[in-house]
Amino acid sequence: MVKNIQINPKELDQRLSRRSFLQGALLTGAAVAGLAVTGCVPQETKPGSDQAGEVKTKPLPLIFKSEEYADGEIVDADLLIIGSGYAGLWALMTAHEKGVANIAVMDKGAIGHSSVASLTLGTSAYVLPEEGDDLDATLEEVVRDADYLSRQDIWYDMFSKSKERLDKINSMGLAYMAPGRLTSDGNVELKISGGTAYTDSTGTDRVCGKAAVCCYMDQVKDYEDVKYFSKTMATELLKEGDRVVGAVGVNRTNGNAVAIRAKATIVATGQCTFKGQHAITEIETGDGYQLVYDAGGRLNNLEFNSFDVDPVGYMLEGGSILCEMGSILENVNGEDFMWSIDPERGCGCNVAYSTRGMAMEVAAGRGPIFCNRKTEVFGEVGQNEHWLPFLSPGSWQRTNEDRFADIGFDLVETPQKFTANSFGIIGAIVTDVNCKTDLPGLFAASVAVSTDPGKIKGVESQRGLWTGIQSGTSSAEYLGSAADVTLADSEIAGILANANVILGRKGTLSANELITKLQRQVFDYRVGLLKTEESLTAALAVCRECQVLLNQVSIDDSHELIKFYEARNMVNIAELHLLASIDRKETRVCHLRMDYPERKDGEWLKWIEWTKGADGKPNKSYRNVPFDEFPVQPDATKGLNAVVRTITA
Amino acid sequence: MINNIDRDKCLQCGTCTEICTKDVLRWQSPENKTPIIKYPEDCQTCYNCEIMCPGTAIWVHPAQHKVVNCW
Repeated sequence: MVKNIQINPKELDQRLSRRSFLQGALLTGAAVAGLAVTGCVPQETKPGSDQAGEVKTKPLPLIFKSEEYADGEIVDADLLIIGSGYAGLWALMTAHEKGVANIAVMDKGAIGHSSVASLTLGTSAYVLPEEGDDLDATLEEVVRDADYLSRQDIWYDMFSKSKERLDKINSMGLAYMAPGRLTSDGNVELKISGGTAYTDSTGTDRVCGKAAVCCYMDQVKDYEDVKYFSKTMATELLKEGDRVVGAVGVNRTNGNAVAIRAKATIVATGQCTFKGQHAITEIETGDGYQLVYDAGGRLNNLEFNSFDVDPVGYMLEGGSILCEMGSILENVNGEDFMWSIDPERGCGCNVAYSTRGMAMEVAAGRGPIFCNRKTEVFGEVGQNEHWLPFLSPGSWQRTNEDRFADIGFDLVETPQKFTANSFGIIGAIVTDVNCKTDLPGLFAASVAVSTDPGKIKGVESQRGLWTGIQSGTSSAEYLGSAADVTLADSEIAGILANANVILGRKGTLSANELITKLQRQVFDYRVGLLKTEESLTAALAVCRECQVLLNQVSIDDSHELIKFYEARNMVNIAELHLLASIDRKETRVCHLRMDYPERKDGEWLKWIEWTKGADGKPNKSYRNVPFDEFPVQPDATKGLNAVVRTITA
Repeated sequence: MINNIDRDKCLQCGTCTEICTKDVLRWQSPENKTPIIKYPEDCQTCYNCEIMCPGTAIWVHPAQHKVVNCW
């Protein structure tokens, strides 16, 4: 039996308290709750400093100065980009190159630095084709492993422009620490790039995702006619008839509301994540989904949710890749159980399989699950060329592992308790292949564009680049003939006033308490992973309780105002996720119905789409996959479902 | 989650308050740019502040404070 030596925050604190350089407050448990009220001044101690007291400094990082605005201010722009991760920055680059001036960029965090991808391995610049690769065969693999609900038009375009993106990245000076590699991802073999490296304009060496985002920021830093609105969360899109003409946002530092009245708008925000224990996914609260849904746009594939293999109590970048490279998932009896689920790949299987396998072991009473990456199993860390980029000094993962080393924990030789985390909605906003939505003037980019119901590792950042280019190009073309916006200041004033009118409201619970209530229900593995009509219906009831509780959330300050909006978005998208999960009475790709374990191609080769009804309630419709327009045809004998049958038998 | 800011090493440059994605850090006051950990419960252990701090004044604890429904 594997001894449970899982990291315990309390034990960590005890170890920390024995270190001379870390005396004073340790912010966990009750201490956190107390400090949340009063704040915590910096300690008088010197964490990590050398004993001689020498202070070493680094260059100031590149930070884009935000516009300052008074409450109720209205700013005019030609193009508004909401979100400034890879997709937002590439949309900015593309639109600027095509002659668009007077651009506004809004982000609820710091421009560029809030990018989720900046905490990952880097930018997967291309998938296929390289010379000699077969694009059609790759498309077939990807579509097959998504159980045939892929947007084949989007994938084909993304693949066929791989070289174009790679050339552009090379021209920027963004280098790859490892050559393109083959990574097994279920049945899909994708060529993706290793970690990135870049020396930014401050002379600082950056690696992995930080290298990419600093590189992209350097590309745009000298643009004129671009206004940045940092720490400003978009809360509502502005409409002029059906046309979208900008957005209203609220500043999380001072609560001021601002309207950007724009001829064209790109929503380039993140996913909706309910279980953020992987990198910085806690900031992905479905903001773009809610904006587009409220404005009348379409969402689909919301029943499909992703998980990753992650440790309990701390975070890890690349958990599923660890398993792919040889780490072993063991049940409480020390059994390498994944071979019984995927006889060909064991733990190296598609993460959709492994997380389900873990949940089923737990359901069968053989939990908890541990990840064994001892040297004797995984090989010498640092000798594994594919893992090495993760551990580059300055990367998120290396920083994380160094901190554990600081406090005396050996993550390598000690099997760690693992679970399925990073629960996010895979589906998103429906667009055409040019990233145009149904609404005139509105475009989408990033993972907020619905492309696929599956989870294919290493593709998200590529999707960010591709959607950035597509939306930047489309919006530039649209602006070439777009009429001026006539929405009057007086019509915007009411929306601006509503955006922060609830600031100072006294309620009965905090936004964090509401989010936790939602997470406990929606993330339950019997709801998220092993779905049944009963478990989903019960979770939906709790979700609707949460919708009512939104009116009782205390909003003491501007920080809590943003948290309220995040909670609102999560609750509403959760409702759509649960409704869609109940509706799809089959098992397909990342949607496992224990009570409907078969894939039903005759009935369900269609997307479930959601719009907001005139009564404010979700409006459901179906759209058949247009196989007459797509090259890859469904095959009932192939796809992810084959393994699902095995584990539910 | 963010654990400590070394006052002696802090350059009061505002990088950490600006760069924190979750708005955990704020200035002491508009006049005093000493950072305070105002909303520690919202820290997501992204290390942005630690990696980017020019004064290497920040140390982030690797364990997370919030564990929900882990099995």
